[in-house]
Amino acid sequence: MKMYLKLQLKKAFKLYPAIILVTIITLTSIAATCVALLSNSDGKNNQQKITIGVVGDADILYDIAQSGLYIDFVDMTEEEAQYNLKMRKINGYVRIPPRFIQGIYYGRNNPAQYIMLNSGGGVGTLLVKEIVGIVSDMVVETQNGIYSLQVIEEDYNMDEKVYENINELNFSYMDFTFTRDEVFKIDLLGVTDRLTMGGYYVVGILFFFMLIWSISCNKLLGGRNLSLSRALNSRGISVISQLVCEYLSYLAVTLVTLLGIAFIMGTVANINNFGIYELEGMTVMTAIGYIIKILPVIIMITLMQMMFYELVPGTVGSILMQFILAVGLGYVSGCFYPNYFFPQTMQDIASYLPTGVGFSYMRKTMSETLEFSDFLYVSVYAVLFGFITFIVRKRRIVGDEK
Amino acid sequence: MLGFLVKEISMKIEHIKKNYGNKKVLEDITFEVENGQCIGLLGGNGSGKSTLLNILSGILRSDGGFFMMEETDLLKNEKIRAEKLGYVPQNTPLIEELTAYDNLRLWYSKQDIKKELECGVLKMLGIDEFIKVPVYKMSGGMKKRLAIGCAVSHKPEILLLDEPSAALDLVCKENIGNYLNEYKKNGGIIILATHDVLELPLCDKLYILKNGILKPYEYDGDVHRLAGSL
Repeated sequence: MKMYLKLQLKKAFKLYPAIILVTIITLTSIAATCVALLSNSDGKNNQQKITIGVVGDADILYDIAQSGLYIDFVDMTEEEAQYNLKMRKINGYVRIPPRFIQGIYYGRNNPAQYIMLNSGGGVGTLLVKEIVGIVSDMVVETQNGIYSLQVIEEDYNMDEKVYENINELNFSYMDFTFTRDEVFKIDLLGVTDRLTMGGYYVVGILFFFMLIWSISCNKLLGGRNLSLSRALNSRGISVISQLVCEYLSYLAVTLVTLLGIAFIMGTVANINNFGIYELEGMTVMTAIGYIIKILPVIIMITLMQMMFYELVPGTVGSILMQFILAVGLGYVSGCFYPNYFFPQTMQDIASYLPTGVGFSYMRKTMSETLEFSDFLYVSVYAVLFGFITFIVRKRRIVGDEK
Repeated sequence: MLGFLVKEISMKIEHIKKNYGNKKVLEDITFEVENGQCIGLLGGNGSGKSTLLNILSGILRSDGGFFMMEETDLLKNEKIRAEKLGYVPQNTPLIEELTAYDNLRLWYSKQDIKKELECGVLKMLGIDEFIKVPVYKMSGGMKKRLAIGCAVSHKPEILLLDEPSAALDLVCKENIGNYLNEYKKNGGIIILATHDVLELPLCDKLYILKNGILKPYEYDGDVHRLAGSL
């Protein structure tokens, strides 16, 4: 068994350069497709921005836009806004009613309206809805506070200073509210499992990489030589021993790759965290530490992939299956969009899927909110996948001659 | 040259049965072999030859019967079976990405490879000529010789071969045939599942497996009669 393990490792690392090459090609293709799909068709700005039309008294929003990184506010008429929205040139538009600011100063609730298409689901739209929602809530609640103070001051006969105080409070409040960076931070924190949007996507990309990784390892996992298994079996090396050796070699190349990614991630994050809160202060050691902490997920996912290779042993079929599973399960589990965009039933199903459980484990590890139950779910799946792989291999060894 | 001599042994296969659901694949398979003999199993595709070899090698469980070697039932004693038996399945049991040497390391120690390449079984099979070649670059004949070399690393007394010379050229067939004759001379027992009439002269007894039933067969050189019997 020891020699079989040694030879499996030798085989794995002999194939490693080819595996890495295929991985790079696969990821480049996926990245190129994503960039092509997401790139702005007018090509004026390479940075992905959400474009919001503003109809009415737009001065208020221009102040907000000065510090904006993600949102472009464009002044337009209602007709232009509707046309641009239909043509999907803007993500939505805000209709500012006349005397909006004066309304806020004097406590009159004269709300702005945000208009978007029904099908406008997506991170950008969510972001905008959240910003408008927060601004709206803050306006109403804080105005209640300010005008309660006005009533109290009037009750205590502080008439000569009351309006001056109220105006001062209103101006301070406007300055505070419309510093958009502040609003933005409030919105971004706690996308899911207390991660920021940036942190969420760092984990999402890493998880998706783990899912898609098995495609590159086709040469290692696919097309197993059952004759070798039979010969080993006839010499007393059990199916389970063979599987353990084969699995350990796959796990070894996976870990080497993930540790390599952690090294790059730690080095880059040390230089520039790209404004992602979770990458602040990250070093090579903490990145490697993260990979070690998610080892149960790595084991579960690699066992799942090995199981699917055992279930669909042919080269073309297995690559296709791994790809469909990686993309399908990755999507449902929230790798590409936080899955609270999906219907509740779908979210419930995703939370019980192995990928959902694994992704959640990785997110919670990042935000340090992991619980024992998360470990338990991942372990149960890992054991289940290992068991199914064993059964299928056993059946394949004895069943091919039927 | 093989470096071992099998002591006097006898082997009995008695009442072996195997069903796949309602389909009877093997029914009451019984025969006896003395040392130094080769048994040829003939039969059409799907007749159960490989199933029988898989049962004898312990990969597949039988639904009844015995595989007796002296007083031991090899179907029940896994350890002794692994010691006494060498098995070469239909497809070569090799790791494609690795060299002949690496594949041999799975079964031999470094010292044994050196010794066998100099004057032993590996030399006889001509493996020394392609010891550093990766399996994926080998011809079918090279692979088959290497597979046999791997299967006899522990000097087994019984060798089970599933179509050893299928799709090989005449030179390779002769090479493998020479080795198997040498193996027999040393007292080894061979059970050979084959379709190839060129392998029949190697066999001391022939059996035809048809509809799960094993019957003795006398080959008189008439290929048409043989084909009609399968």
